Amino acid sequence: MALFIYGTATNTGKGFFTAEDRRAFFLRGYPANVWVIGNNEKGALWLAEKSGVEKTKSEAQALVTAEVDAAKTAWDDNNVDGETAEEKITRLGPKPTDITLP
Amino acid sequence: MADYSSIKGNRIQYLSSDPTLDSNSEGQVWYNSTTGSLKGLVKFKAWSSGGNTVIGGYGTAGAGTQTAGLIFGRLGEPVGGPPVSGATEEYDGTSWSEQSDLNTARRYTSGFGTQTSGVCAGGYVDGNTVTSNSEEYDGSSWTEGNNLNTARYGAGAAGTLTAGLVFGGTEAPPRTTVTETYDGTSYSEVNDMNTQRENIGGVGTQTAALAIGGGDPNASVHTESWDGTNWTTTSNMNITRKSAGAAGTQTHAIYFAGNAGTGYVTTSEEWDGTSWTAGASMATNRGYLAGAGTATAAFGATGYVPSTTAPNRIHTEEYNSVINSTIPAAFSSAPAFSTQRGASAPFSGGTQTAYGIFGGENPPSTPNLADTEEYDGSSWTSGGSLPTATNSMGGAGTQTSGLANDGNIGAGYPVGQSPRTYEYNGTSWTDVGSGRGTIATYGFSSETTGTQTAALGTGGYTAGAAPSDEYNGSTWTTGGAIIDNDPSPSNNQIYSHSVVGTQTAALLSHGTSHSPSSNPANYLSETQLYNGTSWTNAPATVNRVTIGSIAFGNQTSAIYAGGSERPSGPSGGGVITQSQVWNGTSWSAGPNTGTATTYNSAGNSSAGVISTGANISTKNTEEWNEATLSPTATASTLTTS
Repeated sequence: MALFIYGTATNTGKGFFTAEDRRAFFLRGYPANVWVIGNNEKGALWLAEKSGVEKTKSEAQALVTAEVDAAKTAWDDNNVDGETAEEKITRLGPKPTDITLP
Repeated sequence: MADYSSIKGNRIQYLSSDPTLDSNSEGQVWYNSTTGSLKGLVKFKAWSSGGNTVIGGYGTAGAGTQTAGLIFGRLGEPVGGPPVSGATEEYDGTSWSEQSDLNTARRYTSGFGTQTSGVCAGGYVDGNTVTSNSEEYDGSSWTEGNNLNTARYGAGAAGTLTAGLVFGGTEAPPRTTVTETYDGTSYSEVNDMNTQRENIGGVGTQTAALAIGGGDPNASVHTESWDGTNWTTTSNMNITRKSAGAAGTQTHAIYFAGNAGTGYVTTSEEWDGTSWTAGASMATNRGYLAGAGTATAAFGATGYVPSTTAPNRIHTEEYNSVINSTIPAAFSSAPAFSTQRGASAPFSGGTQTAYGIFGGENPPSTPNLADTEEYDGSSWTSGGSLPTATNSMGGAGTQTSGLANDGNIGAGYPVGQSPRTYEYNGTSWTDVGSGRGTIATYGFSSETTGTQTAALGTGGYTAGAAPSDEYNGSTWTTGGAIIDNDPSPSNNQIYSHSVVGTQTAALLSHGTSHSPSSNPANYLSETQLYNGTSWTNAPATVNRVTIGSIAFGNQTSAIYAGGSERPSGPSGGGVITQSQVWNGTSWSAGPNTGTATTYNSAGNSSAGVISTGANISTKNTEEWNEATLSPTATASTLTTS
């Protein structure tokens, strides 16, 4: 049995995931509203209750990669005349890097 | 096997009331003789989602508590807007509300104080300039205060508006070790830190602070303790980090998320005044976040989430460390029903507080019974009578909308079959037509689940066919054939099994395929699932192979208990008390019933009820309750014993 369920769901804030959820199953958020969820009954139920959309691992990875690529492009295109590389990192944070889902 | 006393050093306490909580409470186990409950105390630590901020970003500072929080400054948003922001928001433990902006927009600033009395010191302002500017917040607006002596960003901070502390950070660069105190009016330079660092975590007070992690410029594990006069290097963290959130005091703190040098992480570590240990992880990795609160109730808001665009940096997570008392899952005794009845049937769709059993046999005085007994969670009362006294019926539905089908009206097995269907309205039974099929011998040990208008009858004592049949409230039609898994010369039948769930999502397990059942090979260990059309084998096999188990729950969460174990089983055969828990994927051992019993039950995996359905020498009733947790105290309320 696969260790994880993959899905998309929008973090609506308070109550989106609870301490009880965190105790009941693995949960990790990624760009593009992708969530990696422990593959058990409560994890699957959580995704359904959050009106989430289950994805295959490759579908979820594609969503994350697209978001990362867009963020990379946005970072590359965001420049200030005379700014050093270090200043740019200070201003924007480091350039986004690829993410591989577990 | 080691018992509790050999591990703990003494036996489980037998108390008439719960003990007084103290700092040693975590891990205590005791028996409360008044409530009849075995109890324990367990500390749970977890991050959960909090309210989303109004404005996203990172490089935000935080102050206050989890239920009265304050964040201010950040990388400017919306995207394309100013590179720095003076946005200020207050948190009430549920939602954030925007307040008056800082007079000087900035990011990577330092914050200390409370929601109604906060300070914003230094930071990085527009034009890539480091500032010494300091402002005070009174719960509604910011006013200019006297500046820091040393301009800096990414400094650590602690204390209150009238007794604050700012330390470390970057002067443009280089990084600095300079420490300053604030008295509500002006800053004064005091003794330096031992190691220069930027983006440090700061907690505590002006006279008892902790400087955690930070970059030198690489993420570090350094921790320094401030006693009001000097900084002392103390135990390192386990994981290098900078740009993380921090909350707590000099003697109890947490440091969470941040940049570990190899990337942004979700990790948190907890400081007990002496050393760091791994804590609960956040759900989303991030850095440059605002953190505040205590080591048992903190928040982390906004933050740089790698590869996530600015509008999405609005999320808050809350950390809580709570000590709960736990009552383990258990069967407990309940009032006995009135009339001994073997081979009776239950309203299998009932609940712990609305349950009933009907029919059965009580030889020799009354071979078969017609009456119904109803249970309301505290006592049994008499209900209506079946049109014909019958044993071994299938039972489904509820106490007010019940269903009974097929059965045995003879004085032995399998003779005198009654292929009828009866419906119950809470008061009386009505014969509504034929039973499940043309094979009259379904009756013995047929098992039915579902509702009065959507029931599923399964198996039965019928060689050559192991069918299931579906009832729609009017008629029975043939459903999927139960899979014949018996490797021995098979009768292709299944009976004395147990089924739970609905007409379109059922779970079937245990049972036998032959008579007599004294042969261990005849006992079935497989698990089958029904989808409304066909049965499939689940990969899991049961741990204790029995016939006549009591069962309640649904296809993904069920309890099977008791039953007559196969002669080759651990008990050597006979009715057992052990239960097994089904989680939708596998079986695991559950608590024992109080009395060995078989067949009748209802409820779900959280709360069920069982009653003797075959052992006519008892009228046993028990209630099942899953493990419950009830907050008893937060760790912060415990006192030293």
